[in-house]
Amino acid sequence: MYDHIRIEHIKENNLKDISVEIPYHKHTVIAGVSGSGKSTLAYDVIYATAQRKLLDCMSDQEKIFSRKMKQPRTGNIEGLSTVISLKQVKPNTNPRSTVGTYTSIGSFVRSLTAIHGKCRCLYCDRIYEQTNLHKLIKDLEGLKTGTAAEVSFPCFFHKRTGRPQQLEALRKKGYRWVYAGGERLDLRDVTDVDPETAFLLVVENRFLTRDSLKKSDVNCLKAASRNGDHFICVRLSGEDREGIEAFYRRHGCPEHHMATVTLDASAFSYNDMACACPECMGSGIRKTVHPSKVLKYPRRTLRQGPFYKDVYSMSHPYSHMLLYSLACRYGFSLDVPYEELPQEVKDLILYGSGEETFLLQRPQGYEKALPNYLAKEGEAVSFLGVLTRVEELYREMLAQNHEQLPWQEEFFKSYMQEVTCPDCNGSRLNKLKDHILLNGKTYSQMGRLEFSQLQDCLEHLCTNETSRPVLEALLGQLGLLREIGLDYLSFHRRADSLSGGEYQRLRIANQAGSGLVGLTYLIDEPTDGLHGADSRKIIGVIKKLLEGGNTVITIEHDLDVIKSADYIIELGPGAGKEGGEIIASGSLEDIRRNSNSIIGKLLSAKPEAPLPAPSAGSGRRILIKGIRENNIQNQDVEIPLNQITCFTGVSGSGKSTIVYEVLYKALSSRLHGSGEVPGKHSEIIGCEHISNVICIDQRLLNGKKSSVPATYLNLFDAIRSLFAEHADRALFSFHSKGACPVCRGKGYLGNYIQYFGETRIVCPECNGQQYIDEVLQIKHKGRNIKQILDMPFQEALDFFADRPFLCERIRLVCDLGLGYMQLGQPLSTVSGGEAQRLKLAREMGKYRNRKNLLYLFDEPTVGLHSQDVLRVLEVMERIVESGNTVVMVEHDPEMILRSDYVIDMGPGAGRHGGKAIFHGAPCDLLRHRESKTADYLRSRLGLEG
Amino acid sequence: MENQALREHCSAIIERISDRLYHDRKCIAAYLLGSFSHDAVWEWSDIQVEAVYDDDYRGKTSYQLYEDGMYALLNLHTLTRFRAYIGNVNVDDHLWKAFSKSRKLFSKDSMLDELFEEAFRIGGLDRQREMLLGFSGAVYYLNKAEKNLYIKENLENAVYFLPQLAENIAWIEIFKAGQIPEREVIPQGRRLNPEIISLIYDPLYEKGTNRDVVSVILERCIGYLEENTELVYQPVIQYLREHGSLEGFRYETRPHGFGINYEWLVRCGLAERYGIVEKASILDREICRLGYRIKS
Repeated sequence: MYDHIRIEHIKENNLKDISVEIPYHKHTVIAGVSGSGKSTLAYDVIYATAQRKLLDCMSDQEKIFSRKMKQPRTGNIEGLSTVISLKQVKPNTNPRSTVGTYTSIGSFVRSLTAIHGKCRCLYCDRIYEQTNLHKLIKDLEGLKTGTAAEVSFPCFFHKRTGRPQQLEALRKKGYRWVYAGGERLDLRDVTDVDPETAFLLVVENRFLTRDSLKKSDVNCLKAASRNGDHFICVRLSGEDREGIEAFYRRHGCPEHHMATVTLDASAFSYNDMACACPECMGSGIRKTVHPSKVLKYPRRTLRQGPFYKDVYSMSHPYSHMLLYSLACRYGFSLDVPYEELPQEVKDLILYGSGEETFLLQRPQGYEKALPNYLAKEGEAVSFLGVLTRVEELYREMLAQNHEQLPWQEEFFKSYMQEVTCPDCNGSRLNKLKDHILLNGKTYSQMGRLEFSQLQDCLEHLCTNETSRPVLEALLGQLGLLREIGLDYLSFHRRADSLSGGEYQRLRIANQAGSGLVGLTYLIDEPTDGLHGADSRKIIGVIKKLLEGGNTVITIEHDLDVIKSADYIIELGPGAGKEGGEIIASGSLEDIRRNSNSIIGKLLSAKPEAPLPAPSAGSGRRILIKGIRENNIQNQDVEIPLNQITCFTGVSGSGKSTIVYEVLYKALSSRLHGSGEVPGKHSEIIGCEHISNVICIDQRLLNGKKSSVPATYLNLFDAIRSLFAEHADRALFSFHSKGACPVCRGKGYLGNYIQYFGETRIVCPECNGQQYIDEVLQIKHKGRNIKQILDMPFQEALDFFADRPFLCERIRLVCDLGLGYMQLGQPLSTVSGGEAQRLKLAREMGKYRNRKNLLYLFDEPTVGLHSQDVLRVLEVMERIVESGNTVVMVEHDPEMILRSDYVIDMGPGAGRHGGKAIFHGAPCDLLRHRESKTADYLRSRLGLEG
Repeated sequence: MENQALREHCSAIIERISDRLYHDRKCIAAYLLGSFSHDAVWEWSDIQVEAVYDDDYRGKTSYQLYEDGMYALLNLHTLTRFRAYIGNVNVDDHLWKAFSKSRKLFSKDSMLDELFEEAFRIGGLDRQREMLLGFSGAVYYLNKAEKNLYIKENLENAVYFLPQLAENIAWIEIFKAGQIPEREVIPQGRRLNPEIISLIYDPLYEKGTNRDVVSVILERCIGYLEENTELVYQPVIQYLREHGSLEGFRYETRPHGFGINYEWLVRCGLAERYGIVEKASILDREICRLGYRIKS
């Protein structure tokens, strides 16, 4: 019987014939500087072996893949169980993927709403209980024979097509009678109804009641329930007044005779078009046009044409004369820059003159002829408005109900933006769903509640045998999310709006709630993106996984997590060739006592309070006034220029909203004309001091599948030129005939295996060498192209020491702590933190010797060992010394304390956050009593009390 | 002259079929269609009975019966489908028109009777739509006849289109009166507007076919169409007056050979054509799409 995982003689990548023992049912941390071999040990050895062995147990078809998978270079392996990897991955970008779909919370709430939901009458808002079809039929059969029953169902109008078309569609389905606001109408005569009428009651059929309803009568009730999305209206007439009154009292609203027939959970699925909002088809978003999307040159005059030509061009004689006539009618000039025009004139140009008409006039000296198909000089015309015209085109395209043509797709993509669907307000469901309530709240209202509020809302719900396990599972999952620090999320939140860290924690919580036992969890830096004060939450969930009889292995730099571990394996001492050894292993005490350990010193050292004096800065500032986006309510924020400013605060407190949604998008739109629509704010003062804005975020790097750091940093062209002395330079491209024809220069082949996702197998043609043999024969300083691509940046620094261009860029990469990374590592395998540092290296290469640049960073130290954090900080200080400004969102204590200015958001997350509770020098933050960041910093510095 | 003995013989057969259906617990109603319900009969008239069953009926939907040396057709419908069919009016549907002239053999469902009573009324929308479709058909045949007569000078071809032109004008008259069209629409139209039919149809038989006769008929047709334009094109003209153009105008018609003929509005001087600039996906350049507006 094993009590640990044992892997001997590991020689994979830079690991130097090491052997590890990982105890079962314990938390093991693999620590070490970046590039020391942590990921190799965890993923390339432990995970890859487990995956391969698991595949071996599957069908012959899957076994084919396992044989092709790369075999890690190890000796004997013992005691390995199924390994689940919880790595930071990019969340699904499908707008239909939400936190609710990912966590099953949405399904649980749906089930509870279907079981315990009460309904609200469509006419009078009276709340009534749902009924079931069997009971309804029994009660109808209990009425006096010959009582006439007219069954109808509600049908809401939508805006995608005109009302006459919707009435016609009902007619085509075979319906003849409808009720509009209480009036009975014959569809053979009606062409339209009052625009105020939100919905119709469509008569499904009429029948006479009897002891046993006919099959067709039952079908009529079923059809009405199906067509009305469970809502029906049963109007009875006949002599049995008492029976009828009693029936109305038992089923639904006694006054308006609305009833709801047994709801089911699928009635809340926005992927079912019958339940989805008809305007957005369940996506929760609509396209709309925004001024910043159509305005290209705000400083140009109307005569010069401030808009994109496709949207409004003054070169068309009619457009020219129309705008001239509009200017004459409303008394404004065509020669004033657009941005200086009064707001009412801008509104007129953007939204049109409405129904008001004016005469079409010809400017003096303007001789271009008008096309004969348009209005002529002197005719009454109106101005549609630049934005309104685009909206109209879009509406017409939708009304045609066919797939967009390529030019339409391009046109609408360029000038329109996605906003929350105004009809369903982002709930994605049709309007009937607003008439179903659970504990007084609709499904969409619950979808917007933070998880902590949702938990409070449903905690005391009266359940029955069916719903009890559902509620228990839901509360269990909500509790876990609370424990892991994600209680500020809501289940309507789109998955693609989550950060990598949030998504990873969501997956961890999912696993902890799954109840699976005997597994090995491999978690890559679970504290990424998490406020220091919240690390203990992660530790708590890890404990839960352990309590379930699992084994947890984490790769981590966070000292709190390392301290909580049962077993620590420290790799090092350096990166790349300098690493690959186990420099210490054992319990926390063993590590502390081990003189070789780097972590041990950090764990033992009593931190001193390093309070460096902030740099003086230039005295200039950017002031963002009146921020009203997400959870931020009318907040002003001041950012000093030529300094390092750090935004701090717990996850969900509003840091990213200010830095990216407002500041970056506003500056990018202004300086790059990107057309991005910034988050709501009143104004930004001081933009004139910024010449360019560069956002270095953690989004994964775009590029072809064959992209590698060398290509991304524009080093590969120079490297290929070195080989050009011996052969055609083009041969060394991944897309040339010199590349392996099977894998097309990638060195591996991708395979999608059910449950395993994409797995990679070494290319059998080139054996992972990426190039054909002829190319591999050609060498520069004794190395072929593949050997150079396999070289870590640190090694490449010496190898290319005689090439200043290459050397300078490679040094920058090494300075940013990426010296261990290979020049030819596929970009698709780099982490968010690595991607961010690669972006910084590229941007710094691009903007050398430039001033007044604003660099925005999203947690630049993610995935960095404490030693490497200081290197990144040095690079930032260099940026500031060159006359630029750095603004970052950061949780790392070292970075916070060494920045010049701190803006702490909080005090909590979600609705408890959104306020700048502190701004000033880091030393002053330490004295702040409400700030969680200050609390955490004090504890890290040993300054409690 | 109708053969009375034959009628009596067939009536007895119908009575027997009806009786058997009535005693079938699941049969809700039965209707007699065809000549026996409303017209003179002869030896080749067929007996057609349509029976309505409750929804749980799962048998055949049609039986060809042999009764006392006569052929009889029995069709069976389930109630929900039958209600939907009768309620979903397509005024040019042959069976629906036959039902409108049918005789009820029996019914056990008073709701079905109610539905039947009000099912065969032409609503305002259908009236407008059918007039518009009849008009478009008439303009189509008018154009063909005129081209053959005046341009190609082919009298035979021109004459060929005249009965079809008259049929469409009769169609307009029938719907103007809110009636359900019969199989023979020209006689039905004559009953409603004898003058126009005598002017555009009778000369073909009374005066023979020469260029002058055809030319006069065509002139009269044009006059008729011009007189009725405002009435028939009311939804189109109203939209044009309200919106200035037909951009966004949607008008649902039943499947029909011609669609709505907007060109007639140009011909009679009510509207004019203009071009709407649009980027064409295949040409990679701007083109002008046809639009109509009220003539200023």
